[in-house]
Amino acid sequence: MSPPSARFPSLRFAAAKLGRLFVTVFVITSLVFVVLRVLPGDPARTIAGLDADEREVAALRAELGTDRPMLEQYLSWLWAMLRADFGSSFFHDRPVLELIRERVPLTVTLSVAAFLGALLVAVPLGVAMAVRRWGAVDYFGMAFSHLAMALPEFWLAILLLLAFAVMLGWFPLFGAETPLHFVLPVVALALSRAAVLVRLVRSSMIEELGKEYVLAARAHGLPEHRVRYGYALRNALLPVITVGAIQFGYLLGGSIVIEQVFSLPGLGRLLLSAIYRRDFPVVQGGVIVTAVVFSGVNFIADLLYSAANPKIRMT
Amino acid sequence: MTPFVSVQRLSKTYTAGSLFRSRIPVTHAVRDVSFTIERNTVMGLAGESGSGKSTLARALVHLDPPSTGEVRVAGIPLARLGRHGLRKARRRMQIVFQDPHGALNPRLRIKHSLGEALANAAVPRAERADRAAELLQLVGLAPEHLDRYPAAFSGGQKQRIVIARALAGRPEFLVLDEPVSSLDVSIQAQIINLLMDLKRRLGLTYLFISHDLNLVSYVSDSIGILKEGELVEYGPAEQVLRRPRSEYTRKLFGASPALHRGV
Amino acid sequence: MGRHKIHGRDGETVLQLQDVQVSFSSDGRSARALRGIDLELREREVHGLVGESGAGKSVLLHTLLHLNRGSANVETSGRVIYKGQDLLTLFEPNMRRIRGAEISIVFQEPAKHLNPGLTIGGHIEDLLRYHRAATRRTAGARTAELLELVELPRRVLRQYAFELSGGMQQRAMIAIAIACNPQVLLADEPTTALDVTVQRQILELLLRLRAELGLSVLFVSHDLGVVHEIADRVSVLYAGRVVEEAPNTVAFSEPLHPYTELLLRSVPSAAVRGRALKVIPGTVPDASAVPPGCAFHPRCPIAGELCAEQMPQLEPACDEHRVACFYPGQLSALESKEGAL
Repeated sequence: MSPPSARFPSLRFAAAKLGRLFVTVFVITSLVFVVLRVLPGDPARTIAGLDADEREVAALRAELGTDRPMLEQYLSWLWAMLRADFGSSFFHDRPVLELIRERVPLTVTLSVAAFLGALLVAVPLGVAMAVRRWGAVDYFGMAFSHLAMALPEFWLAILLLLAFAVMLGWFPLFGAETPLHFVLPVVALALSRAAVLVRLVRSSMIEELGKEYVLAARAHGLPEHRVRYGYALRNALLPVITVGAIQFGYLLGGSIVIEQVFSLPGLGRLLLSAIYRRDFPVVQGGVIVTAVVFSGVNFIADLLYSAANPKIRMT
Repeated sequence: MTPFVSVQRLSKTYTAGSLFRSRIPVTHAVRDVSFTIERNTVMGLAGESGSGKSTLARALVHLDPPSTGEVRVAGIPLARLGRHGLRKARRRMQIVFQDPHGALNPRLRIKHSLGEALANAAVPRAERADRAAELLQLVGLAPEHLDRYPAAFSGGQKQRIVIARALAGRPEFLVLDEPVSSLDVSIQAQIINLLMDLKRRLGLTYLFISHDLNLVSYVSDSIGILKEGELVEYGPAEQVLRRPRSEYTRKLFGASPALHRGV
Repeated sequence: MGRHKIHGRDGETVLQLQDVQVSFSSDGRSARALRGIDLELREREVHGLVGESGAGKSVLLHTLLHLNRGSANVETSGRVIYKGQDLLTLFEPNMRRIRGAEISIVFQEPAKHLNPGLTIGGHIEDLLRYHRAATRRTAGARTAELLELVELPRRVLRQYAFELSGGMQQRAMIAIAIACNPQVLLADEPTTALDVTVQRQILELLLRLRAELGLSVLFVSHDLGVVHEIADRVSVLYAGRVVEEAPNTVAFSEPLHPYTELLLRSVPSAAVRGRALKVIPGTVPDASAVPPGCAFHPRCPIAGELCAEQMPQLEPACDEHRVACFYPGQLSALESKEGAL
C-alpha cells in the first residue's frame, strides 16, 4: 500500500534541510554585513577616541579596511569566509573565533540548563492542568503563566537577585565562577520560557485528550496512566518540540539581558558590546555562529519531530 | 433532439511536482468519460470513494476545468466561453455539495446568504427580498426563517436552504454531489422527495451523484457507474439495474445491502 | 447474503440492560439521552440496534462500558447485567478489566480511533500487555494469530493507521478488539465510513468471527440495509428508548411500531422506483425536549389521546416480538384498508 516505515528520515530529506540551512545563514549574515556598514558609527573613530585627529582615524580606517567601497569589503569578506577566516576583532586584536569560543561554553551551559528547567516545569504542570481543567492546579498554572509572561525578564531577574542574593544571601551576585553563580540566572530564564511552554503543553494536551483514539484506548481498558502518557502526551508533545526548538535557539543566541544583569561573560554580552563599539568582525562572527546554531537546533528539532511523527517521515 | 447536457471524452488529470523533483506523479482522476443527459431527467452517478465522482462534478460545471474533453449545456460548449460567458452560463447550472454545515456562511443570516446568490443571478435589488421568501417556501421553509443564522437549523433544514440558494438564479441543471449522505434516514426521504418534486415543478435536470446504490437506483432515469475515473457502465436505469454489462456493476450491486421488503 | 440459522433464539442471555437511563445536565437544563433501555444480548447472537442520530446509540455503548463515569454532569441509573454482575456498580479497576478483555468495542472511522503515533502491532501489544500480562515475546504468537483471523498481512504490524486503507484499518481495529478473546463485541457503526464492497467484507468478517470465536455482537447502525444483512434480532431505538424488538425477518417485513414501519418505507431502493418515499413529518426530538407520553406521538399518524399522556412499555406482542406502542400493527392495517379503497 505505501512504503514500509523508516525509523529515520531519508538522507535526501536531511540533505535538503541542510541545504536550506546554508542558504538561511548566508542570507542573514549578508544582511547583517550591509546593515552594520550602513548604520551611523565609525569603529575607527570609536577606537581612536573622540579627540584623536583626523589623520589617525583615517590611518586606522585603512588598517581596519573600513574605508574601502562596500562591495569590495563584501567580496573580501566572502573570500575570507570561504577560507573559514573570521578575522580579528577591531578592539581586542584577537581572532574572532577565539573570542567566541571562550564564551560559548558558558552560554551553552546556561541555555541547556534553562531549557531543561523550563521543560521540567512546563510539561508536568501543563499535563496536570489539562487533566483537571478549571481545577486548582489549572488556575495556579494560568496565573503563573500570565504573570511570568507579563513580567519583563530583567525585572524578574533583578527581583530574584534582590531576594535571594542580596536579602537572603544564598547566592552570589555576579560572575560565573561556581555552579552556585548559575542558579539564579537559570531560574530566571527557565521560568520565563516555562511560562510560554506551559500554555502550549496544556492546550496541546487538552486537544489530544479530546481525540477519539484516547476514547478508544480507554474503551479497550488500558490503564489511565498509559492512556494519558503513552498515548495522549506522546502525541501532544509534537508541537512542543517545534516551539521548544525556537525557544532553545533564542537561548543559545545568548540571553543578553540575563547575562547583563548577572554579569555573566557569555556570548550575549560579547555581541552587545561589539555592536556598541561597531566591532564589525565580532558582530558578523557572532551573528553567523548564532544563525548556524539556531538553524542547527531547528534542524535537529525537525529530525526529532519526524522521528516522533511517522506521518512526516513518509511524505 | 440534442441532449440538454452532453459530456464528450472528459478527462481530468492532476500533476504534482516540485522544483527539484525529476519524476512528476500524475493522477488520472477522470478518464475519457462521455455521457448525455436529456432535459428533465435524472442521471445517477455512482462509484466508490476515489472513483472520481466529485472531480467529475466539479469539472462538469467548470469549477475545476477539465484537462481535455468537452462539456455542452443546452448546446453551448462551456470551454469556448470566456470568463463573462461562463458566469452567465453558471446561472443555468448549479452545484449542491454534500455537507450542508460547511456550505452556509455561519456569520450571515439566511436572507443575506440568499441575497448574495440572488445578486450573483443579477436579480434586481428591489426584487430580492420577495424572491428570497419565495425560494424558502419552494423548499418547504417559512419566510420567518430569513432572519435566522444557519446555526439555528438542523442538517435537513440547512440542506433545504442550500437547495433554495442553488435555485436563486432559476437554473435548469443541478449537479447534486451526495446531497443527502450526511443526513438521517428519515430526513433523507424528505429531501429526496423535495428534489423530485422540484424537478417536476421547475422542469429541472439533475446529475445525482451518490455512493449509495439503492438511492441511485431509486432516483435515476439513467445510471452511470464510475470506477477509478472510468465510466464502466452507462445506460437507461432499467437496463443497468436488470442487465448490467459490467462485472464491476454486478459486484457493486451485489455488495450493497438491500432491504427485501415484501413489496 | 443469506442467514442460515437464527442464532440466539433460545440462547442464554449474555448481556442485559434493564431500564438504563442516562441524562446530561448543563446550564440547569437536562438532556435525557436514554430514557429506560431494555435490551438483551444473547449468546452467539448478532443483535442489531437501529437508530437515527439523536436516538442515543453512542450514549448507549458508552454507558455499557461505563465510559462516562468521570463526567460531572452525567446521571446514570438502571442495570447492566453481565455474568451476574451489574457493571454500573463496579469500581473502576474492575470495570477496566472487563473493557477490552470481556466486552470490547470497534468504532466508526477507525482512522480516528487509532493512535497515530503507534503501530498496529503496538496497539495489540498494549491490550495483551495490560490484560494478559504479556511481554513482547509472548505477544508475538497471539498477534500473528489475530492477523490471520482478520486476514491482514504480517507487515501491518509495523505500520501506522494512516498507511492503511479504510477497510484494513477496520480489520486492524477488529483485531485489536478481539485480542483478548472477549465474550461480547460492541460495534458502533463499523461500516458506515467504508465503501460498499469493503463494507461487505467487514460484515462477513464479523459473522465469521462470531461463528469461530462464539462472540456475541451488538451491532449499532443507522443503516437499515446493513442491519438487515447481518442481524439475527433487531431492536429499534427512538429518542432514548427501545420501541420494538423482533427477529430480523419479522422486524423488516411485519413491523408493529409505526416508527419502524414508516422508517422502512422511507428508505429508497429500486423496488420503489416511481413512487414518492414515505416521509415522517418533523424531526427526531432533541434529548432536552422529549415529548411527554410516547416520544413519537407528535409525528405518528395514528397517535391517540393516550399516546400523549402515557409512555408505552416494551411488551411482548407475539412470539419473540416486543413493541412499545398502544396501537401496535394498526398503521399497516390502516394503510392496507386505505389502499384497498
